[in-house]
Amino acid sequence: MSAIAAGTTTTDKVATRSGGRRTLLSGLRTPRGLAGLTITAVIVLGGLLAPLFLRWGPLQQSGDTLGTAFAGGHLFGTDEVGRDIFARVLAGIRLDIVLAVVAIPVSAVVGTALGLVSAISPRAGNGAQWLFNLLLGFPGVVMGIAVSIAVAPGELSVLVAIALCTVPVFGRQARLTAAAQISRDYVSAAVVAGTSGRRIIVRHILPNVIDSVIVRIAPAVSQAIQLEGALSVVGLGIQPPRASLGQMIAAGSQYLSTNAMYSLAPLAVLFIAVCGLSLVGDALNEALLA
Amino acid sequence: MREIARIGEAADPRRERQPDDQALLEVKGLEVSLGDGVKLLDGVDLRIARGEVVGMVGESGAGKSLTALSVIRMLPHAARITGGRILFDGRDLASAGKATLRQLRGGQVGVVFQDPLSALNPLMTVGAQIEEALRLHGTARRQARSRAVELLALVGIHDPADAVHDYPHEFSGGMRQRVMFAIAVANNPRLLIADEPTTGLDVTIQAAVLRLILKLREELGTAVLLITHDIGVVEEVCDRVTVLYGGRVMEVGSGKQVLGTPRHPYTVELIRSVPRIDAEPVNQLAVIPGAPPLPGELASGCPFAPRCAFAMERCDTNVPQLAVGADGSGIACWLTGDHPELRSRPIEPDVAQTPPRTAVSRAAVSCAGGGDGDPAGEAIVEISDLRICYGSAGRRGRATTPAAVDGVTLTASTGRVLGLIGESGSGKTSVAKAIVGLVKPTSGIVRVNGLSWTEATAAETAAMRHTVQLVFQDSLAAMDPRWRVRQIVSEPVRDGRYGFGLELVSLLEAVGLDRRFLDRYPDELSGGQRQRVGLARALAIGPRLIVADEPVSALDVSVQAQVINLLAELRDMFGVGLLLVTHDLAVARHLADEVAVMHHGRIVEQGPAARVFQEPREAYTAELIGSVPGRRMCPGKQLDNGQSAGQPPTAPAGIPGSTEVPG
Repeated sequence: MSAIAAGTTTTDKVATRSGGRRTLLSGLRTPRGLAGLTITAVIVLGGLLAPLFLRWGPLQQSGDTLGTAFAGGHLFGTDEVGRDIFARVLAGIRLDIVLAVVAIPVSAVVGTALGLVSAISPRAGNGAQWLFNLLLGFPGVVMGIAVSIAVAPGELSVLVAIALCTVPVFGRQARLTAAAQISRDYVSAAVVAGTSGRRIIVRHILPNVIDSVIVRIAPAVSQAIQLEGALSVVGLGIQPPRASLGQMIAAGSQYLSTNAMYSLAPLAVLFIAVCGLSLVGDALNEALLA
Repeated sequence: MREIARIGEAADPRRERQPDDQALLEVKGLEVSLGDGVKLLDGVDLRIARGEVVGMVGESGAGKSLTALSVIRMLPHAARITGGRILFDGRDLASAGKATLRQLRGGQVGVVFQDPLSALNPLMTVGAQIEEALRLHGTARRQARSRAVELLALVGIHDPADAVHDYPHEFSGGMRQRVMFAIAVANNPRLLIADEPTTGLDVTIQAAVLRLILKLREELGTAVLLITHDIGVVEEVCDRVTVLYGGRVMEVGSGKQVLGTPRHPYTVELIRSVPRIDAEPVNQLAVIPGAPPLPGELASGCPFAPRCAFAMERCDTNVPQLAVGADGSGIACWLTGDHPELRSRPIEPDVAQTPPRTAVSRAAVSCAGGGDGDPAGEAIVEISDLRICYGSAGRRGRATTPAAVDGVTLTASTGRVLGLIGESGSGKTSVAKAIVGLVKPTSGIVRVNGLSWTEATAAETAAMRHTVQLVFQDSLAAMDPRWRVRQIVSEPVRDGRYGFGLELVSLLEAVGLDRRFLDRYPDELSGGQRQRVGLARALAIGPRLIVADEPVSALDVSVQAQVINLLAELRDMFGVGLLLVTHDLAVARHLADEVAVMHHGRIVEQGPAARVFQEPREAYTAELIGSVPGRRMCPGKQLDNGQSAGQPPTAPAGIPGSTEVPG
């Protein structure tokens, strides 16, 4: 409102860092980013390429049930009906990849759109904020239970639950960043230049918001994997005989004394995947804020 | 102003000042480098005698603050002292241990930084913060309380006994800065370092803070190192001056000598490039081409050589050493002896920057200019009884906050410069925003070419955009960081037709840039270059009037002159009108044909610039003009009596200062 009488000599120098541009990718070149990327890549490739190098399919029953690790060529042994645990873990990864690839883009687009609208229009903003709070108010598992009442438990219900839980993550981020951009002078400059409101959103605000939204993808995927695991553990997620990490953790917990790997292998993979994604997310976030 | 008058009445026991020739602080050959060997300071010498006010002037990156931080050994992490000595009262601080330094900081050396809000703890009362400073240096709790009250009285705070219980947010910017001074002098320091203490404060407040510095010197005998980019401030209060450039000392000497008869080409040019409020405006300000060097860009020779009109061959290879004579003055320059041509050198237009500009644009204007033979004086913007209220004007239809703009009537015309001047919060920026349609009037009418923003159709709005354009103060914030100069400048242009019949490149040339800048991003430009891009954008659709909101206040002094000249040139070249919103009276004096003085949302005085500045009719205008530092080359003396031009009734004269104190 008031011109701040800043008769100051603010830095009249050329910034060396090219702000905003290319900085996100540079985050992946840091040690943290590289570590996270490597972990994530190994797990993803393992899941995708599993059919090419495994002797057993995830549903294929071999003779011995509940075989321990390495017994009969089964890396992590077999489950109670003789299926290869390693194959099923990799299949579980594959399933998680599919869930994430389908659900996260949907929630990212919806969340960003809602966030942008809410940053621009005060009335829509209140509505969107209310929606975000409502969605965030439910713990993921409760949300999953609610969804599985409406939709039969299975892939679809997990998908919907993941999407609903991650929409506010993207939405709030987009809203926050967009609101900060809107108050900046370059938006005023665009208005004075006669640029239309829609064009300002598409050409100015969206490009400056998108990085912060991208940064949220890694944590959202991590959240999706955990949610799938949690729902499957309580039996409202992926249904047997399909392999999922959560469902295997639950099922294997009865056989900890005979084949501990039944439960521990999927648990370890879940843990490592979440760690890898967190590293990637942190590295990107650091690059964004730098 | 009232509180200043109280200083004189405060009955503090005044201690005898003991002038002494022995140096209190002697910095010799100070070198500060970054970890990778880049030198930030390259052999800085500085001498402060007891009780002396020494000004340190320089542009951004010159190393002023680094020198000060070196003295208290609070350099940023990346920087290290790599050479030289810092003798404080005979002790070398460059190698002092932590305990010595702790005792020194806030004890023998007090420091005041630029930003008084962030330097105070918002959760502690000001009294508690002063007491903290006292108790850290051994004052007992009970005495600390009464001493805090004394100190607040000393720096001119009303009702100090009550004020100790207040929190920083209850104080205005100027008051907070006084509190900072109270903390800095709490333990009777022998040296007070003030780093841009008045930057960002309004001129009237600035004048009061400067008076306070003089008063502290007189009453406490404290030596002061005053760091500033504002030559007027130096002129006002400093006994001696050190001019820094590119991490080296260019010139030292008494304030009178350095500012009155400078000898170093840089000092000469710097002083000539500052617009003066007390001088008849000249056609063009002297301009130092280029911009100050960045750290690490320093060549092997004299840092100023690339911009120096007198540079010789040896300047590029050999660094001239600072040669200080018996009178304590000296320059670091190969150009020794008296060179009267230095000062009388005619002001050349900024040729190196913009070779084809004039030719291109004159031609363009003459063919595109249209039939209006004399465009000057055609009213473009008419404001009548404009009121703007922010805040909760919505729900219940009643404003709870005072109006930011309260009944302003103005007319701005083509080909002329209207200066809208006032202090922060006076509402001048709100008027500017209302003119370009960024802020809706609460009541009253803003007409652009006879059309009003609130009633205009889409087509009319577009036409209005073509008529008035805006230049922002913060040029970096006003540009999308992801856009290139090419996109930024052409954003207002819808149909590929630039204003004044120009092409994109000739538009850039008109503002002193060239095609090499087309693909740069805003953060790859210097502040001066960015402001030129901002002007090019404003000119792109050929407006009749440009509203410039503090267009030069963020620029270095030498770069500021370039942009001021450019603004005048653009007015002459394209016949555009300029509404110059500024707090800097000297800039308005230099550029404006007419000025309007705003105060609390109203225009208190309006008229031809020469008349308003020479014979202000309103008390407020007189006070404002009287507060501008450095109107006469007589350092250290004029704040007290320089206000005779027009004292506002609320602020009686009789400010204590050097002339009143027996000494």
